[in-house]
Amino acid sequence: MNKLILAGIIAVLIGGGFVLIGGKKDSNVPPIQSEPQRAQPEESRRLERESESSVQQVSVALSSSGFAPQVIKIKPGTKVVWVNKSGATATVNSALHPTHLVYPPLNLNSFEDGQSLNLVFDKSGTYKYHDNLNPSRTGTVVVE
Amino acid sequence: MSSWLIRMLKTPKTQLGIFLTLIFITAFLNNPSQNALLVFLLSLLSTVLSDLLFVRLRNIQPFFPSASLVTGSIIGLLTGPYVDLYVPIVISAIAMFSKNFLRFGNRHVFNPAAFGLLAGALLLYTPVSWWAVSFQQFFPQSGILLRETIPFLILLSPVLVSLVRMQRYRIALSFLVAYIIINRILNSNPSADGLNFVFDPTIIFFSIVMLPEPMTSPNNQIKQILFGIFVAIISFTVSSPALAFQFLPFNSIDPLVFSLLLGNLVFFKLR
Repeated sequence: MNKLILAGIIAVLIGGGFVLIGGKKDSNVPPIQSEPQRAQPEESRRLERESESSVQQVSVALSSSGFAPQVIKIKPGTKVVWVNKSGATATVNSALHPTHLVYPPLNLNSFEDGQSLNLVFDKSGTYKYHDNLNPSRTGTVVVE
Repeated sequence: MSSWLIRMLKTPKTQLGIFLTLIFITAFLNNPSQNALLVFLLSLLSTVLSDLLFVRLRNIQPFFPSASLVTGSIIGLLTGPYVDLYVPIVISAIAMFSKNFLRFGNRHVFNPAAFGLLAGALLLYTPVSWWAVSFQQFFPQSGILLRETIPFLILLSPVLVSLVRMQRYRIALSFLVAYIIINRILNSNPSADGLNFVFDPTIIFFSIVMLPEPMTSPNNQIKQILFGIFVAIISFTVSSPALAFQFLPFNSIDPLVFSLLLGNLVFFKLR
């Protein structure tokens, strides 16, 4: 009986490995993301505004109570900008905590108070994220 | 009375309960919230009262509820700080129900805190939060040792009980090694948080407090190692894009809690 159970465990481990490898191939999406943004010279800000005018942009603010708005609905190709107004370091990470595997491009750098992070969402779907330093702060991006 | 108190303070469960309370205090200082304090206190009270009630129903002589204090502390640390106050009460009651009635022989099958938390996620739509064991950083991102590193060291304090005194280090180490290796392989951006991903406080807490619980984890050394690796693999499997939202009944199911409970079930007969 114990040998049967051990064989079952090994089968689950092998099966789990195949699922993980398959998931790794599916998740090899090149991230489109930026480093935390700091104050920029005026000329580069003007150029950025001109290029950004062709990309729709939605902002999400992170305060001490969480992300707001908590759920946003956008069209493919829209840039989401997270602005940290929480007074402390925070992160934006993909669901699920703490493995962060569901959508790896959402595993953005940590950002300090006052900084921002952004990501362009190209594909339709529902993308859940959270602050890894306080996983009770969650948000969802719905691309449709 | 004083000798009884000293005896109680020397027991592993009481010491673990004290360390867990210290962890909560650091979390509370980091994120002061009256609701969070109430959630923690209600978790403690509800687990103790539920345990005493269910023990009475089983016609067992009541005993000092040190184990339920540990369970209540874990529930208080992992339940969201802003949930409605009935939530920790229900989670605690379910946890104690599983401890007292989901048993085989003289052992309960599932880690009580994990069972209660999963039930809370499924029934009350309150996902496991990990809020109190996620901000601690070995390498402080804010540059403030007092705010992050010292709480991290306090987070490690249960090691003295679970891994050193109770010798459950094989489970924790096998899980941590497997988890870090799999994370490096699968996570396309592992350096996003520098070296802090190796010392992820949630993973650390899970591996030194929840995973090696003696009643629900194997005693055999080889099986302990297998148990740790099993839980690590399953936690990533249920997190993979293929499974996370398609097959799980609730799309916020916690991978660590789920994999722990599955490990409890699978390894129950292999103790």
